[in-house]
Amino acid sequence: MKLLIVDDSSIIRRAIEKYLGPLGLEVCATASNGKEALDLFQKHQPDLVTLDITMPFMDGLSCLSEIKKIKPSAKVIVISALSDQATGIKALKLGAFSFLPKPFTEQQIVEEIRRVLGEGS
Amino acid sequence: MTETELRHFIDTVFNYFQQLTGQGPQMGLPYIKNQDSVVMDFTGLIGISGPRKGGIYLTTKRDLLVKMTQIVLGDSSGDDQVLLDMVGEMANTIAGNLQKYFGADFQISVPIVVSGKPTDVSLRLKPPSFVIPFSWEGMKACLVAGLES
Amino acid sequence: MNLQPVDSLWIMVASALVFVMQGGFALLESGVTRSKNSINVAIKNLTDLGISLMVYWGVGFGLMFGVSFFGLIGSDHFVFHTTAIPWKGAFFVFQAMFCSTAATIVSGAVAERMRFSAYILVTIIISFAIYPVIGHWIWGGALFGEVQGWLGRLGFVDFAGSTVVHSVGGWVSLSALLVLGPRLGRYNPDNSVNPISGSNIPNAVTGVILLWFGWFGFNGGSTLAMNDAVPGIILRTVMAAAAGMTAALAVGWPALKVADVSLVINGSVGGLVAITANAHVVHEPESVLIGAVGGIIAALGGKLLDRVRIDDAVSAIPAHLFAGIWGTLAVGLFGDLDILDNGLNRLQQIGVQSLGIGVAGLWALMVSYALIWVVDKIIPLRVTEEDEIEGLNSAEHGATTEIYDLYKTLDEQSKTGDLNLRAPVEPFTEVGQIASMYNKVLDHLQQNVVAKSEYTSILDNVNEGLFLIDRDFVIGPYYSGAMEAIFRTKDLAGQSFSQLLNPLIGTDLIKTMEDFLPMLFDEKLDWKSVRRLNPLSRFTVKYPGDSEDYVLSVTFQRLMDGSSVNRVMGVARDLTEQARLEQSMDQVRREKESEMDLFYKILHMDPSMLAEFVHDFDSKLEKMNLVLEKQQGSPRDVLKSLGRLAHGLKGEAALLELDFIVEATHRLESLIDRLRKKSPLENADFLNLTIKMSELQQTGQRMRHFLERIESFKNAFLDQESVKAASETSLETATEGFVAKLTKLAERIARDKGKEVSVDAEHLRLNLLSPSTLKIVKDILVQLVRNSVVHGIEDPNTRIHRGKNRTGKIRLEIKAEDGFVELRCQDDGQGLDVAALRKRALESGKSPAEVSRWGRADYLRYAFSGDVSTAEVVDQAAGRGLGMSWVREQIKNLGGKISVTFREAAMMDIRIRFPQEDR
Repeated sequence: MKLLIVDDSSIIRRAIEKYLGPLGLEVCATASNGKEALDLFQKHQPDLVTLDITMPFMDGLSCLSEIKKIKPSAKVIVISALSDQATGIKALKLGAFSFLPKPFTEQQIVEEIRRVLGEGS
Repeated sequence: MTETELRHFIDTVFNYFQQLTGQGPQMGLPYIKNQDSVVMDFTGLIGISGPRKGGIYLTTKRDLLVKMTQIVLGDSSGDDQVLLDMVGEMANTIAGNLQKYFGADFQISVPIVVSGKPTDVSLRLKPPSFVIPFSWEGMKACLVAGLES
Repeated sequence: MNLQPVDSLWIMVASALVFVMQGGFALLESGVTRSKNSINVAIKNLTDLGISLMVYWGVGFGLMFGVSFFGLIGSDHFVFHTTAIPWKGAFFVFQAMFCSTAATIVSGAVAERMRFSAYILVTIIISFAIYPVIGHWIWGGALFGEVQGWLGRLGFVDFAGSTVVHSVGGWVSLSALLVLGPRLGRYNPDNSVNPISGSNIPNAVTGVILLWFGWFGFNGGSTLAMNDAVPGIILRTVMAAAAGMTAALAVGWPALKVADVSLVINGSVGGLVAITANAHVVHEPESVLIGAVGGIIAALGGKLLDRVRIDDAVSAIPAHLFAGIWGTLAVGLFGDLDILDNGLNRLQQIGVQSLGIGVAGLWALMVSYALIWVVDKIIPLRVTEEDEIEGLNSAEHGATTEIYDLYKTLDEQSKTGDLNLRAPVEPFTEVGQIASMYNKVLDHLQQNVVAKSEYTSILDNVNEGLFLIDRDFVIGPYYSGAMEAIFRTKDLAGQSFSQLLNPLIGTDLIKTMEDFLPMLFDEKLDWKSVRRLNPLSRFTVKYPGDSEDYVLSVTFQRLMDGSSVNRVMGVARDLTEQARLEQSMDQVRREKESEMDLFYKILHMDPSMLAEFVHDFDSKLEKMNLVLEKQQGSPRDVLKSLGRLAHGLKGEAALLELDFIVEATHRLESLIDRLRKKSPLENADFLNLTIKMSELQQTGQRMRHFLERIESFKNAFLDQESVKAASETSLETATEGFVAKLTKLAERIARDKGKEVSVDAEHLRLNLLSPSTLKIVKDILVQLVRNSVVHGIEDPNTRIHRGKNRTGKIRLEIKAEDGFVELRCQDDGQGLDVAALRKRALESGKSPAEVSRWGRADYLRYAFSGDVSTAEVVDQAAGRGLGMSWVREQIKNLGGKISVTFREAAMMDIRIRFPQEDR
């Protein structure tokens, strides 16, 4: 399973990378903005993407729809603030697999990924 | 500092220009300065003592002062000394008006006026200082305030 | 008059047959009326028989057959008592039956609405004032074998009573109906007729057959002798009845489009009535014609009456009056003049017949109408509306039928809704079975209703608003009572949930909700995520006419039917109180959020993470401030950038669980959000924003202070520990251990950075140093190695690209000469990244002019100045440039000097020289 982490905060990128290591996911790349994410996605064709919504250059929603065009089978976990439910709803409509509200704890993201991978409940 | 206080700063500046010239200034976006300062061509600084220690200064571009002296004094010489007096007077008036709002405890010093880019102008101010940029007839100026809360 | 025994017998038999007609009438009339009145109709039939017989015995017979007073009225034989003459007894019995027949005709016509007591009076009237009078005019003198009545003497012929009996019954019926009026609900305002179905048509048909049978005696006995004429009369009677029935059916069926049962009933009776006046003077073909016409008149005459809203319940008037008139007239039309033998020609006969019909009609109608009108004033003819609706069986006689009982139960239930009532079950009747089935249905219903009432009592009592919505978001019929209170709307069932909310919430939320609601029903979507995105999990509403804001929450649960979502259950709560409480508690909590708390949080954090966070925090806030200062784009664009930055801040704070910062940044973010939505947006609105930001900056400063204090704590402890360690272990082991650790550190940092490195510490002669110097040198070494790995050594790709070995090399050396110790750290990395440094310098506010004059030495000085680091990503490993300035300070303490040489993209060589102390 190849994972692409997209978030404009380096701390969050690093945290996700660290937390998800034990799950046996191969973090193929990390990106700090939508444009970069798209390039990396094209290149690595990951199976799983954690996607921040508010990013510079290209926002998460546009990035999401592009990703879905490139590889529809990719599962995208949208990570965004709960105050932005309207965006989350749009993301789900655009084909995001699931929505994880920010801020999240280590346990929450691990559980979410497990669930997406069909391991947890 | 509170929002109401800052609003009062704006109102005071606005009224000043409005009353003297019939044309109020346009306010820009406010921001914060901690160490370094915003200084333009001419600056009038008022020190504040009392419970709200700190300082307020008005700093403007030359053209604005030239226009103001024309309107207020009918003097269009653009002489630096006149402009310095002008900026001092403006700072003084504005600080005086503020005194009405903050009360008698709000003790204001005589204006210190400087031209050019002195580095110590902000020393009297208590950080963080709030910078309220505005433009009047397209000419730029800033009111900067740093008071203890 | 002498009577042969056979004549006597025949008159008695005929009387019995006419008597049977009473049964026929009872069956017919009760059969074609509704069961709630059937008993009343039947009782009237029996009662009028008795009453009419009594009256007729006392007065009527004398008036009719007593010695005539000028042909107008009889004058003796009142209170009839039989003499020795058998003829008179037989004659009385036969005539009394006729009187009763005339009386009983009325009962059917007025059925279902007439008061029983009033009906008895009408029976008395007909038996006393109508029938005997007209009977005398036509048949007077018959007792004495002569014609005494004035009409009879004129040659008027009515053989067995088409006029005397049937028309009289019909005329009186008409008077009564004119006074009574139609049954309730019979006619609509537009004059259309509501059919009222009979309760027991088989009975009615049996009644007609009995009438037909009785008519054998009615007509056959009217010869008053068993003579040769009798068979012919009975034959014609039968044929007329058959013709009447057939003709009525033949004409009525096509006309009504249905073989209505009334056709055959009224057709038969009409045929019989029509032949009654003339059975002895016509031939069979004529009897068939007369009967046929009578039948048609009887069957269809009712339609005429309906036109004028005369509601004849059993078609008595068409059958008896109309057909009777026709039959009487038929004597003149078809009567065999020879047999009539009264000296009149046909025209005269027709004239006399018409006169009789008219005179009898006038008398019967006028007298009966007048008397009934008077009766109505004394005893209202008509029952009350309630009684009529309830039915006369019960209202007039207290009599019930099982259907009535069932009806009463149903009626009671419909009024009270009391499901504990059960219908009385009469065994062995159909209605009994229906009642028992009905009771079973009720049992089940009651169970369900009771179960349901338990649910509904739950629904009425929960505080939450529970409801179901279907795929069109329509609220189902059952929802908890709290719903109406929460949404301040009544009768939610069938309303659209979104329509319900729309007037209470803002347009943004309306739009979001409209996007969201369909997701509830989309089985393909991840339910957990959908629930997380519920925009109604907490929202603010404004009720019309109420200026306050209220906080509501609606959560949803899918109700699965197999794998598809059929309905969604919603739970609505009013969180207003809770929200207000939370707000005030929040206030208290925020106030209590003390420095101690901050201190505690920070103590529990990975210091390097925290350091990084604080730095990042400051620089983000600084960036935000710059956005304001530079103000590129519209104020709204500015807010957008600010929002993004604030959001990032919040996320990082949340990751470190610095809740108070999360909250502060969240408030900042919300403020930005609010401003973004504000219209018009004024620059002054930004004031609050700058205040919030300056508060955050102060928080950042506090954190930085803590961090510095912790750092100094740590150093103090470290000093003690290393002294301890040095005294406890031999220097050699300590040194070896240190070198191993240093190597490991270099490798770990390299791995973290995706680099490869090998440390050559062969010439690192730590034993040349005194213990106090050793400690400082160790720390310096750590910083130097860190710096080399992070800033010096390139990643393997770059290295290969630059023609170097992919693994970077760091060489560490300590040597002593001329009383000085030289510490040397060489690496084959990129040297000093001048471009990066220049960028840093410019960014941190150095003027371009100044930087452009910089030489290598200036860059070096800058690199060690303490506020620079060329690492792109500030992280745990690469300090903040703080490391190098610290090194510089330590060297100063040692009284040493540092010299650095580097070649860009090739190498870096740092030499530190300080005086050697004695060990």
